[in-house]
Amino acid sequence: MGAFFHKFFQTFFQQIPNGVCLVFAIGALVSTVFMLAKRHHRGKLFVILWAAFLFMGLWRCAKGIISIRYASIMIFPMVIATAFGCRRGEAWWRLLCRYFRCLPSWFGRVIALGCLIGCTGGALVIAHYKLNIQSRAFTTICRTVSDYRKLYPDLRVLVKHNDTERFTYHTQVPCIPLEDNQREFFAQGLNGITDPDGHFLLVVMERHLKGLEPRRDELRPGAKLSRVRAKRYRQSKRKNLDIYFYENPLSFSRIAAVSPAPPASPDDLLGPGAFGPSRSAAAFRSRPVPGGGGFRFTFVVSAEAVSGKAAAVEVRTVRRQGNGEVPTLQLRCPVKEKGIYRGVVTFRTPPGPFAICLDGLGTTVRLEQFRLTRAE
Amino acid sequence: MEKTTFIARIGRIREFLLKPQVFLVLVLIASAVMRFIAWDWTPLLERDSVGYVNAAAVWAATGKYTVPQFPPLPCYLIKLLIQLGLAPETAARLYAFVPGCLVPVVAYALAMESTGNRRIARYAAIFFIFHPTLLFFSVMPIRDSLYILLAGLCLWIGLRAVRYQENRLWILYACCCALAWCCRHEGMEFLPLTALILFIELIRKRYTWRKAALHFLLVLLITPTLWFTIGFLTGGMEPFVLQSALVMNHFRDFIE
Repeated sequence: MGAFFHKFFQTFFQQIPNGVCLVFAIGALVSTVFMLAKRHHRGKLFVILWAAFLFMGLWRCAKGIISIRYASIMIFPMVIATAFGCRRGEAWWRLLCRYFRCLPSWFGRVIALGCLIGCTGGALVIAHYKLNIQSRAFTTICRTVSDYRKLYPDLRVLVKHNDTERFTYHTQVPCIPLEDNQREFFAQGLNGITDPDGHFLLVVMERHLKGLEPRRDELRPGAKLSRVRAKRYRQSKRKNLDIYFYENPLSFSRIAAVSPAPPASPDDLLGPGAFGPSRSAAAFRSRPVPGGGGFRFTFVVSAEAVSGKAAAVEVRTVRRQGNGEVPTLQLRCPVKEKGIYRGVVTFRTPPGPFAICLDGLGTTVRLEQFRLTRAE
Repeated sequence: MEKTTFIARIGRIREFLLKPQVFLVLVLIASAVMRFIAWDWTPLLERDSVGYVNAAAVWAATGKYTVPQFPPLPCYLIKLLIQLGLAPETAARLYAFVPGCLVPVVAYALAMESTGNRRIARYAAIFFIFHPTLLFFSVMPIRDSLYILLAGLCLWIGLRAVRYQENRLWILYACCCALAWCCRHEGMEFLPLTALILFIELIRKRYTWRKAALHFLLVLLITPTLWFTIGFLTGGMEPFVLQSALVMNHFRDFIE
């Protein structure tokens, strides 16, 4: 019951006045008093109009509205009532003049005109504020994206999931949806990028939240996140526009030939024979390595047979948890043609042993070289 | 003497400008100018508008309506404008712009009908020219612009129908209700609203039971039939089925 009344009053006092514009909501409230005070208005069709809107308003309050657009029809009674109030203000002044003869009668006209100019001016100021602010924020985003695209042609934009279509339309850059603008999704979204190509711009338009950026240890080792724009675009609602640039710690590219293997190093955590005797297959799995902290896995593979457009190479880490195993995708990159490829993937694992799996999807790969080292 | 002539001339100009026809033309011009300014303030489309533009562009190119959860009429109108040769965004903006310009005129008529005072009607029309929410609706291709115009027309024609009690006015009212319903699902609230208005008039003894029942039946028959016909002709059966389910949900919510 409490929730119902909360929703009811929130719609009545917050969403409907916002939707119809505050100036007219107040005007309508004052005018209702005028209307109730004047008996002969009750006989006119104005009453039917008011009854109709009372019904519409109560329905909306009871059901609750998601957006102020649902209350848009309430603009009609509110504005007509405000106009009525302007007119009644003049009439009431004339009534006052009848008792206080010293008052100038022409002032009634001034009151009506003042109300008209005041409401119009108020509406115009709100219109300019509402329409201009959002637009300025978007212009900033589009300009930033276009500047960065000149430097990084493979740029992509990460935005909240419900904004993807809008950002793709305006920036003409592929957009990747983030689940939410909250802090936990922020890190999750960035670490979820398993695509080795591209640089990413992350756009956040949200109320000011302190500590929105993930801590360094929450990101992949080697990843860089820097804020390139910060702007408070809506003072009243404390809405901030933040744009971050994310440098991808993953890479996967075609190379001409396999270079001679580097001499064995004590830094290498895998060592020879870590992936078993088979060196040409669809899937490889390393022996377990003690985890905890950041790692860098460098590998060279030659793709020997590529079938279909979906051919790809995937790198996963697999941890044992209870009786089962938890795989985490670290890198996924398409393989378009036969050849030799070099990939680097940096990742962080919780304490406990883990294995590295390298899978060829739609392709048979030969694992030429590999190395696993600690990364800060 | 000169002063009197000057004042008389000013008075004549004022009288001419305040003639309903002249005033409404001025309102239309002012409304269009204000909406052009608002268009300049918002060069970029907002979230929902992008969805409409994309859906209409895809519909025009492939003949497939991709957002059956929305009533098809707004997208259909944008699609028609695209097929006339306009760019998708321009077509969508134009679709919102024209009804947006007409809303102050409808507001004038509604205020005039409900209060009977020409000055209140004039004030209302001026307010509608500058209303921020309406300016936003008029420059963003969302369904609200057309819906507001049709809802205003519904209310105006509804009030006239109540006053004159003519069958043809009730038929016209039902058609407007159906069109409003084709733009937004909230348009169906005009059905219970009609019942409420007729009930109030019955209490006020301005209507007979027989006439009230006849007029309500007219609205009840014409509105859903026309809603179905327009929905089917524009979007086909798939959106209609989906939207029927949505409407049933609305009714269930209302009853609960």
